[in-house]
Amino acid sequence: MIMILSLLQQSACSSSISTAKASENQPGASPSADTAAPPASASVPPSASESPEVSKTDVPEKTAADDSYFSDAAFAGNSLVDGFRLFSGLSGCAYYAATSMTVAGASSKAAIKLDNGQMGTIVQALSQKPFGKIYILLGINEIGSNTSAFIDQYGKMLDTIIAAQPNCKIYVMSLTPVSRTKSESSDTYSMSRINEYNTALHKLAADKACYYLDLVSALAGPDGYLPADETTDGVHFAPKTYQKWCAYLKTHYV
Amino acid sequence: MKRTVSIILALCVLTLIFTGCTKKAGTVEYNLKTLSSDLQKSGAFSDILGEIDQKSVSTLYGVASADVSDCVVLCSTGATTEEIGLFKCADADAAARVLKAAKARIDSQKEAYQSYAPAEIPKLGDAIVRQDGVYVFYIVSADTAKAQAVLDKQGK
Repeated sequence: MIMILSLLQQSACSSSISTAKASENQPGASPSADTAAPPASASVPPSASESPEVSKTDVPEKTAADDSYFSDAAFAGNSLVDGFRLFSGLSGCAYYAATSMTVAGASSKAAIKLDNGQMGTIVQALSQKPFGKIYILLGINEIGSNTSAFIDQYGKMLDTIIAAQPNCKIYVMSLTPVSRTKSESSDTYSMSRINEYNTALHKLAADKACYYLDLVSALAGPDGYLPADETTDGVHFAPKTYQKWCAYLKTHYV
Repeated sequence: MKRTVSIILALCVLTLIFTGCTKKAGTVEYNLKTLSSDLQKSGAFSDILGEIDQKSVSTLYGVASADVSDCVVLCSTGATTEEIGLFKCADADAAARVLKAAKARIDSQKEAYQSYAPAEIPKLGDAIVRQDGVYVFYIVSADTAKAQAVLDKQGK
């Protein structure tokens, strides 16, 4: 009885530590150019012992899978997913992406060519046939929107996809990093804003029993920003960045 | 009789000249690798370009692989509409189909970037999209004159 009470007490202490760490990771004001420090990475999750629900969503690093792992995969999202299709080297999977795609557009914009040759939405495309895994990247095009509204729409989209693909592993990919120049010149496309979105996405993935992939840690340089030589507009990537992204996916899978 | 022979001879000479001109226009050989490299070095492009594989080319342009005997296609980061698409086609009919697909790509890019990045639309309007015999060129750049100069030099 005493052992059980002790275990319960330990668990209560762990929860309060997890809450404290989560509040530490809330983004503050963007640092000024003169005192710029690496952006706080709100996408780093608490450890497994502190927040078991969130940790189940995180994907540990493993020995690299080969391309065949992705043969039953579908990638869905915006122009960055289009770039991934062109430059990652992964060609045996399905791609459903379009320039300027948003989470709202994923359910409403007929921008994807379906298997029957007609145009449909991303959600329709993902419902055409069974997939073993689905990777989703959305958010940068609507980052000026209210975070709650974005998460609400994203959650509804996930519900629809999960209902259509009950046996599928769904990977929610975080928003990707931007360059320092972009971040410091824009309140909208700032790393603090991106981290805010990603914190919310991380929680959503856990709530929906999906996996979460932290592309900020995968693609940012040591300073927490997209390297300047890997982008021309601070947001889109050079081919080598997509290869880095692909290498990350090959070592982070379930 | 002499007059008739003279007329026939003149017609033969004219025919030979005409045939020679037509043959010359359709037989320019382009080295697509060299052309691609020269275009990239020309200063005509502002974005980072990366080469894509044949399968991606077929998907992107909607062209049948049987229509294209060789190609070099470089796409941008997505921040711009800049692109280099150089195709050597199986024959003139295949080239006509690829040209049609290239023109369709211009239209779809205009639609995609109209609200996403409106500043890119003039580049699509100034794009080089043309057929030269069995070759088709799709070149969207920040400086069409520089790109055209490279094409003109290679085509001599």
